[in-house]
Amino acid sequence: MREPTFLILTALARAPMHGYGLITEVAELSGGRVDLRPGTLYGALDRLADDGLVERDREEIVDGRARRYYRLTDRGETALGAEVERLSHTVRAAQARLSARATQRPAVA
Amino acid sequence: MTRSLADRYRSLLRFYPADYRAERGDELVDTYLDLAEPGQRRPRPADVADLARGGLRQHLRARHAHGLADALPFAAILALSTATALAAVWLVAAETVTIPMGVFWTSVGPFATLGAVAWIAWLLAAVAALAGWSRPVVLVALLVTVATIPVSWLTSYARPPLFVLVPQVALGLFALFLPARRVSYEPIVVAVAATGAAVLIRGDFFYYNLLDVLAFAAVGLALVIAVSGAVFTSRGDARGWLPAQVLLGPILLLALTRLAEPGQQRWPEFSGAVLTAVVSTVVAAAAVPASVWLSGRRRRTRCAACGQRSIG
Repeated sequence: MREPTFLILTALARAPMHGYGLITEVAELSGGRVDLRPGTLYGALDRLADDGLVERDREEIVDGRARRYYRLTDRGETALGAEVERLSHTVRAAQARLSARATQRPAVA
Repeated sequence: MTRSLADRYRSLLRFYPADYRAERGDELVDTYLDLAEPGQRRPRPADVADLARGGLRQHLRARHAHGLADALPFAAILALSTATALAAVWLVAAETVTIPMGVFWTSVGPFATLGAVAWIAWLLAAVAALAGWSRPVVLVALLVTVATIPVSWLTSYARPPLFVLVPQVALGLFALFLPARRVSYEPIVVAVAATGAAVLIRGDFFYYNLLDVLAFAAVGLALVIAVSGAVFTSRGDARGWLPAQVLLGPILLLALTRLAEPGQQRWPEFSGAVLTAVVSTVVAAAAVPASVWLSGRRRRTRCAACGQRSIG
């Protein structure tokens, strides 16, 4: 799973969101590293919908602008959970190796 | 002001298929307006590129070929790896040939032809890929490779033969699809391995004695693509066999050089080389659109109620 996809699913895990909200949430989750533009975001949402990981939730009109909300499906929740487990396993392995490296390093006089 | 900006964004929606525009157009434009800076009058260049990419993806998606967009970066890594491997072999094994006494030849420093400059640029592209900076360096390497032809024509310096330069340019064009900031270690690993192999086979060879290298590169690239295609297909990955279609042109250009050799001569005649290059390019250029068209056509269904055809 690519990072933008992971971040979109993560953002939707808390509550249904509209496009603009998703873009700001993904930027916040990634510490500003991932700057999704609308063309990319909606392309990703279409593909996630094709795969059954997200679906449309509801529509609202705010200040004359249409807000279409998207939510995580059960399948999306499962996919996100599996990816979190995979990443956690990788992080644990990396931490273990770093700890072992730190203990093996000779003390500097 | 806002309305003007909205109109400008709306005009860029022409990149998208009409039905998608009708369904998603307002939502896309409204999101761009939400993100616009105060006082912004025109779409930013990054937004134009974003909409162009998004439109292309939707056209491909409508034809159930969205894997093509994902296949290009993978094909780009393979193309850059092959290009740098060839560059390493040419630099080490062909450019260091000893020019016989009495032959009128203008060397380029310690190297035989202008090709050395291009091959060094390709190797630098492999190094740049480690830092995610390969695309501008690939562009420079590509331009230097092409520039060897007019520079050689205008000066007394020799250049590598066209049957070496043309596949290299074809590989370079696909290597440009490597996403910006994508860190790739594969090209440098392949280049180092190729350098080792070139040192082992190094003798008093010039390009014309090393034609088998092109055939080996074609076979190696085809094998990697075949294995990855089988893996993608078995995993249900949308990329499937698309990398094979994308890189069909460079593979044909590499492989057909051997077939273009007439009789006793150990390198292709100009007419044979041109013919194989044209055939390779036409076949490769037709393969991807034909595949996308067939993919869309296979999935078109006719609505039982209204009789209207739709993609589904």
